[in-house]
Amino acid sequence: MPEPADDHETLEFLREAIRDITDAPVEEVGPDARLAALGNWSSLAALRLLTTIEDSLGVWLDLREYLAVETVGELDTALRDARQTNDESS
Amino acid sequence: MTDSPQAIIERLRRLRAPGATCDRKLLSDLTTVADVHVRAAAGRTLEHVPLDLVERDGRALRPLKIALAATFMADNTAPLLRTELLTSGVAPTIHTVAFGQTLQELTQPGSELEAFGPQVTLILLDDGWFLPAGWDPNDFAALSRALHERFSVLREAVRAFAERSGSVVVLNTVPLSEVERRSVISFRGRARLGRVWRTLNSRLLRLAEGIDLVHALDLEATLVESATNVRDDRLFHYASAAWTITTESVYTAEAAALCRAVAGAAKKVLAIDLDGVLWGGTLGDDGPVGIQLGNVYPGNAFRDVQARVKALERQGVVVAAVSKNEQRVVDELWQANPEMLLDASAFAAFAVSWQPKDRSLRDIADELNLDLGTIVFVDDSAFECELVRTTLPAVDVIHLQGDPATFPRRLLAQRAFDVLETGAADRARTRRYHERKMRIHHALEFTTAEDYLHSLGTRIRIREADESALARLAQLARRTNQFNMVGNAVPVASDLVLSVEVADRFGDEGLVAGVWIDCAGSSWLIENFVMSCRVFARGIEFAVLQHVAERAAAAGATNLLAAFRDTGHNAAGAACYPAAGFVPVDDEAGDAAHVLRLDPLPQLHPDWITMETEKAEPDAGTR
Repeated sequence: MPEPADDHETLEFLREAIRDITDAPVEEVGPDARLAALGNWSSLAALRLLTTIEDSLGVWLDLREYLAVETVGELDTALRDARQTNDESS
Repeated sequence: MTDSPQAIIERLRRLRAPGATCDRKLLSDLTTVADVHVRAAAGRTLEHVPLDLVERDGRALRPLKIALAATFMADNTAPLLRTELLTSGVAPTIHTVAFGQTLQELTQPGSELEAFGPQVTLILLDDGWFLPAGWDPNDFAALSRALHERFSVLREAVRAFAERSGSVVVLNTVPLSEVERRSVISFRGRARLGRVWRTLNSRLLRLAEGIDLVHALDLEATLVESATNVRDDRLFHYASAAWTITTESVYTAEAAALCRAVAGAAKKVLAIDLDGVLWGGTLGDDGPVGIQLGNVYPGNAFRDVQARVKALERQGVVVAAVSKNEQRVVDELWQANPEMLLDASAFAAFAVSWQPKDRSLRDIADELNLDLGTIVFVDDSAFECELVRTTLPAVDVIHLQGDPATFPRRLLAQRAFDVLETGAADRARTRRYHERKMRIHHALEFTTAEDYLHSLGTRIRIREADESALARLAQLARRTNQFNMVGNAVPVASDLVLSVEVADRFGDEGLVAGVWIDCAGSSWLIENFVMSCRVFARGIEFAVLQHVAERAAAAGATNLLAAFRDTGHNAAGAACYPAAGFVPVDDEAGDAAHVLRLDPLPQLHPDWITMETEKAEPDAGTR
C-alpha cells in the first residue's frame, strides 16, 4: 500500500484501499459513499479494510468506533483522530 | 524497473476483463511484492483470472487440489496461498471447509471435503480449539489430560481421513496465546504450563512421524523469527480470527513449500557460482590461499555458505559449480586450501569455463539429464543473474549480494528444495551421478549402443512393494516428471504395486521405478508407471513391461491397459507405450489410453538385461 505522507492524502489512500477490497470504482468511493452500500461489502471485508489501514498507516483503531462508522468521510475523520491520539500516546 | 505494488494490482484487475491480453511478466513481478495485504488482495483477484493469461514462458503451472480446514476463521490463508503458489509454479484449486465443520468433514465418509478429492489437506489449528474453557491454573494434570483428549480426537479423525482419501494431511504446532500464559502468575506454574503445552506440540510433531500421509509444520518455531502478534484480540473476539494476517502469511510460506513438494515443483539442482559465493575474492587473482575462507569474518561467513550447500547435497540436492574460471585453477584449490568444507566430490557437475552462464546451465541440464525448470541458479553478479533471468525464464535465480553473512539465510529462504522426506536414495544421489558420468565415458569405447548396453551388465530386480517401498515409490512419483504417465498424484487403491531396482557394473542405482496396477479380471490396468531419468535409454522400461505382461497373462488377463495423461512435462514417458507395441484406445469412461494384447505374449525384454524376480511376503504388496 502506498503510504500517505500527510492527512490530506489519507482520503485518497482510503479510497484506493476500499477499491482494492470491494472492487468498487474509485469514482464511487467519495466521502459520502456508504460503506454498507458498496458491492462486496461484508463483515469480513470490513475487517480486511481495518487491518490494511492499520498496518499501512501504523495506527490502531477502536473496533467499536470503527464498526459504528457508516460513510467513507466518517472513516476518514475517525482515522485522523486515531492518528493524532496514537501520535500523542507514543 | 518493476511496477509498484499498486500498479501490479491494477494490471491484475485488467486481466479479469473479457478479451484481456496476456501478461506473462505479472507472476514474476508479483514475487517482488512483500506487503501481505497486497499479496492477499492479489490472491483474491487471481482466483478470477484465466491462468493462460499469466502463465510464464517456459514454466507450465502444475495443478494441485488443496483443501483448507481451520479450527478458527482464517480469512486470508486461501488468497495468500494462491499468490504464493502461482508465483512458484503451482496452480491450486482450493476448497475451504466451512468454519466449525472441520472435525465433521474429516470423519464423515462421503463428506464434501472427501468428495472434493484433495491431494493436500491443510488443517490449521489454534490454541482455542484445544484449551478447555475456564481451565484451572492450579491443576495442570487436568489441563494435560484435557489437551490429550482433544489431541486423540484429532489424531483419529486425521488418521481415518488420510486412509480414506489418500490425501497428504498437514497439521501445525500451535502457539499458545500470550493471555493464556500470563494468566498463570507463578513462575513455577508458567514453566509447567509451557511443558504441558509443548507436550501437545510434540505429540503433533510425532504424529507426522507415525502416519505416512501426515505432516506437521512447526509453526510455533517458525513464528519465533517473525516478531509478530500471533493474534489480534479484537478480531479474535469479534470474528473468531485466531491468527493475524502476518501469522497467516508465515504459515502460508511454509505450507506452500510443502504443496510444491507434493505437486512435483520442488527444485533439484543447485547451480552455484564459486568466486564471491563459496569464498570471498577471486581465485584466479588471489590464489588458492589468498581467498577469503576460514575462521574469521568474512571468511567464516563463506564457510557457512559451504556448510549449507554441503547439508543440501547430503540430503539429495544435486550441486553443480557454474564459474568463469580456469578448470586447472579450480582443481588445484582442494589440494592447496584446507579450509574448503565442500569436497570436489560433492559436485555432480562442473561447468567451469569462460562461456556465458546461460550456456553453462544448459550444458549442466544436458549432462544431468534434468529439466532447466529444476535448477536454482545462485550468483553474486547482478549481470549474470539478469542474463539467466532473461534467457532462461524456467530457472530460479538467487542473487547473493552485499554482506556474505546474509548469504546462508537467503540461500535457504525460498525453501526451493523442500521435499516431504529424504531417504537413502537422496543421500547417495551425487555418487549416482558420478557413476552415471563413468558410464558415459565407458560408452565412448563402444561403436554400437547395443555393445555398450551388453557391457554394462544391467540387472533388474522387480518386487511387490512392501510398506517401506510404497513410501519410497510415492516419493519417487512426486519428484519424477519426465517419465511419469499420469502426474504426481499416487494411486491409493492399487491391487498391485511393483518396485524396480537396477544395478550394473558401475554401481547400485537402487529403487528407480514403480508400477501401480489395477488387476481387474481379463484387463489389467497400469494406473501409473514412473521411472527416474537417471536410467533412461537402457531398455529398462521394456523389461518392466515384459514382466507386467507375463504376470497379467499368468493371471488369465488377455489385455494390458495403460493410463496416460499429458502433464506438459512427460513427453519422455509418452513415447514408451507406443514403442512397446501398445495401441491407442478410446476409453472415455476410464483412464486407459493404450492397450496391449497379451496373446501372443509380447517379446519386449532386451537381452542385455538380467532379471531377478522375487516375491515378497503374501499380501505385503497389495492393499
